[in-house]
Amino acid sequence: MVRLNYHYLLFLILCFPPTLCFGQDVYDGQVINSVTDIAIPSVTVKLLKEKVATQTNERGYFSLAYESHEKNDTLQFTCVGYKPFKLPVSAYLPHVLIALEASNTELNEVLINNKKVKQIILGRFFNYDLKNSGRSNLYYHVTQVIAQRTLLAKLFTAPQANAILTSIALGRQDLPTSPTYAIRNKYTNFLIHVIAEDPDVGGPGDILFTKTVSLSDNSARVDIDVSKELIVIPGINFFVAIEWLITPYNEIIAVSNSPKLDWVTKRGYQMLKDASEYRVSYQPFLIGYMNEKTLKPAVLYTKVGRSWQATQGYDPWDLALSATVHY
Amino acid sequence: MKKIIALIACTFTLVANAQQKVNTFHIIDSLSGKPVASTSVTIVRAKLSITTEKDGIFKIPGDLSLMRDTVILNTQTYMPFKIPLNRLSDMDTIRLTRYAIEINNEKIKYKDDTLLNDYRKQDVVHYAGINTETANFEYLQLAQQFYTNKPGVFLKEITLNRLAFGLDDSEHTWTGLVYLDRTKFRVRIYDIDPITHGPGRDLCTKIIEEKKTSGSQVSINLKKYNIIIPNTTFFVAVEWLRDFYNAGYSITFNPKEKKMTRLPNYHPAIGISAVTGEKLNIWALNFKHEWKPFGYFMPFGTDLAMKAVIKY
Repeated sequence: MVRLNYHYLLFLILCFPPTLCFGQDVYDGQVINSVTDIAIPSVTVKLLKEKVATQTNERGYFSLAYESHEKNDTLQFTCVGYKPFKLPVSAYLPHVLIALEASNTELNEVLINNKKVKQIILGRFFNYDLKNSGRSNLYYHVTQVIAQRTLLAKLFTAPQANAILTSIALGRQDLPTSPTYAIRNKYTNFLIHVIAEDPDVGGPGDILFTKTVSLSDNSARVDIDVSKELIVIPGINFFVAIEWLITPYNEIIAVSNSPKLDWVTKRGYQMLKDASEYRVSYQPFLIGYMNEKTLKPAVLYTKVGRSWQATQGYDPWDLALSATVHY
Repeated sequence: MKKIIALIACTFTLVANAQQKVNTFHIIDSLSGKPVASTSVTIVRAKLSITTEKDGIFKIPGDLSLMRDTVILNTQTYMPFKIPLNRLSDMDTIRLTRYAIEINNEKIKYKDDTLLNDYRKQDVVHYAGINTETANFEYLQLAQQFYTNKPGVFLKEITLNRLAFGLDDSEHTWTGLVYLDRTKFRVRIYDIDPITHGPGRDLCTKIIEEKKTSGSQVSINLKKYNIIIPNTTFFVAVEWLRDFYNAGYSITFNPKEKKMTRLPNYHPAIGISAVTGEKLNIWALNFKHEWKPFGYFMPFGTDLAMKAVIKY
């Protein structure tokens, strides 16, 4: 829910499927800047009556364990430079996303008003796009395509050539969707590549930059700062690719029911008994969303063997992957 | 026994087909002549292992005289029995000999409890015991190594985390698919082997068997077994009972054949602690009955999600 004229704070609440939340004795979520969407580290999160507190990490993520189930308790978020915010625990939903409003807006203007360099966010998604309410879909590395597809690239078009890539943002979920029952795995390592367009075929070409991303929390929004890398995009088209690493660290175990043969009757009927069938998928699970501006799916490529192939996204779902460039 | 044969039939077709003879064997105690229940039967090169039911019967289809493999029978308190498969062709009964363990643990009064290898169950997201894309789980036991400050401590209790999808009522969450979480397994306590520095002799002569239907946390009170740790390190192992009760499946992609493979997979899967230590403390007993360090999850995953309470 977004309330633009909210007096003190603007907050967004992301509601991921509550059916699969393990450990209900933990409040967790992410705190971001209400204007820039950038995560805010070192926000103090207090549970006022129980008197326990924690701080957000570098991705704005917090996880606050509690013992009592006091229904009238309140979560309080405070940080220097931001207006404090209180959230009654009765309004809490798993993976809550809190957008804090800066207490000194003039500071933001100083940062933004640079007339010489323009900045644009390509493929911009908003925090409500990450909300999983049946409108979103997941892009992930499924077991069936493990040998063929460990790379997924999204096409971006900059306003002009020689733009400088400064940051990449993606939406990520730490568990698969229902109906599969799965164990959440917040830990993941994956690679992110910035790839120039192949002028001959129009698909991904030379890799310009590669970075390993390591996550160890349940934050839905991941911002990757590459401003110090001086990545210059040679043409106007370029790709940002995610490469899945098929390692034990990224495993997500899911279960379904697959009956096993118990015994056979004299008439030849097979009597079955419920049994587990495990499948392993690999993090990260990327979030797809309906882009209401374009109503078009993302232009995606996957790598099959040594060659890239254009692939249709989940129509009309876009991929929550954005790139910020200076030009 | 018929059930488990049906379950592994798909993999056994490598050495036999349905038209061939089925060889039935009875495992009995050499003195009493009674069946030896829950014996691990492992065919080494074929990488097949099952655990017998209470009747101590197992079956192998095919012409045994043509098979060039080795079978190992093993169960707690009996001498392991190892024999080439082709020598089983004229046998129908295998006699296991019980060995005597002299453990004279005097009743000593201890004062303070100490918790070893603590973990937070909320942080456990990785599990050992499942066939995955990167490796099949071909082990009979997994052991966690513990360290104490001095020898002679009393092992009071262990707690471990296992994979469960439907959780206890106390965990305030959904309870779907609870019936898929049933498991029973054995717990073994080992001294250190002075040569391999892995698990050595059994420190408990009695069988510790645990059954669990739901919930991820398993606590086992060991007081009645009066287990005294003779050195400053010891091992607690989970022994899989690869029988019908624990049998399920796993689906993995076979990159060579480029198709999905469905293999038997036995409960439980044991949690990996999220706390990474400096040293790998997990050991695995392979189908050759050799204890080896279990480095599947390295560089993280140095310890099982298993803690122990000892008394000084």
